[in-house]
Amino acid sequence: MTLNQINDHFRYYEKAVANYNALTTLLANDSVPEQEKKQIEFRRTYENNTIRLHELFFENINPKRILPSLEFTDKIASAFGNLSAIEQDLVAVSEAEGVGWAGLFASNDSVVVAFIRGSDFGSVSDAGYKPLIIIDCWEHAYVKDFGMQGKKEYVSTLTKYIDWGVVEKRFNDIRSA
Amino acid sequence: MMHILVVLALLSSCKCSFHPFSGPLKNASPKRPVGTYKLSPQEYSVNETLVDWVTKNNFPGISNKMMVEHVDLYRGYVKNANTLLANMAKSSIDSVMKLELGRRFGFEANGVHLHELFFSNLHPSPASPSENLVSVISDEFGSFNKFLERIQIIGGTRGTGWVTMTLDKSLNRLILNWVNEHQDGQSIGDVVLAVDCWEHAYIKDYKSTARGDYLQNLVKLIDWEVVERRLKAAM
Repeated sequence: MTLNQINDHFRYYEKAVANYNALTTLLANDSVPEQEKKQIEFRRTYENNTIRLHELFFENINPKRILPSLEFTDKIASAFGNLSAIEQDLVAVSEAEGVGWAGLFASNDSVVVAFIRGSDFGSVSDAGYKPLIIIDCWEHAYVKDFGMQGKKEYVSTLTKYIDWGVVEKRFNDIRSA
Repeated sequence: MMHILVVLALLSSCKCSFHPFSGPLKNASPKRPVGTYKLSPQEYSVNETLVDWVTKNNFPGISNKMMVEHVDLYRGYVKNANTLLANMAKSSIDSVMKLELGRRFGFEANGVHLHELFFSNLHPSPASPSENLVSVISDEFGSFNKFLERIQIIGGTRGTGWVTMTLDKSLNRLILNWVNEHQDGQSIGDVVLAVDCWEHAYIKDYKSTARGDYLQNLVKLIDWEVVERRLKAAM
């Protein structure tokens, strides 16, 4: 992954933050009609989701290969077989049509690999799932380096750079809550 | 009984040319004669003439490399749409999960149609729109320039999708709106203009935050003759 691709991605994330702030300012403006405010609130949720997902994504990738503890591997791998099974599942769900986010999610009693369509974080969180791994599968995340057909190669590559230390910490936070 | 009498009274008094409901009338013959017609079903196929049009010409502001890759995506949609058609025909209608294949069909099929509409409404150096088209556009959007601005504003909608313009025949109006992905929010009517706003359409040549720049350039590449031809055919 080139610096060009990553820097461009950071700019995209910054724009989302700027959009969120601009929408917050609009909501505070009394002269904006109520019906428009409802729409703005809806869009602000979208921007917020975009921001949170990007932060989770940037946090959980690391150029150094960080492996999880044996304890964690036992817990998670028991559901999937082994870590590479999770990696393969992430690649598999990323082939879903459209843009979105591939991820590993945990609820109180289960761990699943799923695909979030668009920025619809609510689709998993409403079902009680919290993120362990998040991989951006929007086109801006990979087309510059991998080409328009390169999503699968991009996700495969990125699974090698998952920071399993971060993933483990997220898992422990979820289960101890 | 009362409401039927009211409706019949209204029907006899109103000068409308259609019945407000479509239920069978008491004295109508039970079998309507139906003309016979035949369809010759085909699969989607890649329009190679169209592919040549966009890959063998130089479109200012769109690199040939990006255009070639974009065409490959379109080929993928054709393939996926055909695969889905085949699988949908095979699947058992009782299976809830296999019905989900049908849910995906709109995405793939519209992916094919919209890309074909998009590629065919591009021109490396389009002629100015005709007086007639300018007049029709101005009636709806105020002026042709305001219309071009509107395309760019709507094209900046957050998310991934298209700007399409359709002719709504019940309103006799041109509807310019955002379609999310390929199928959410598509207005019903013949599409006369399609502008691809997916990130893949610009991200190799522009920054991810520069969709506006891409659109500012794109409106200079719209073939107004094609748009006008589609509009006339739709009317």
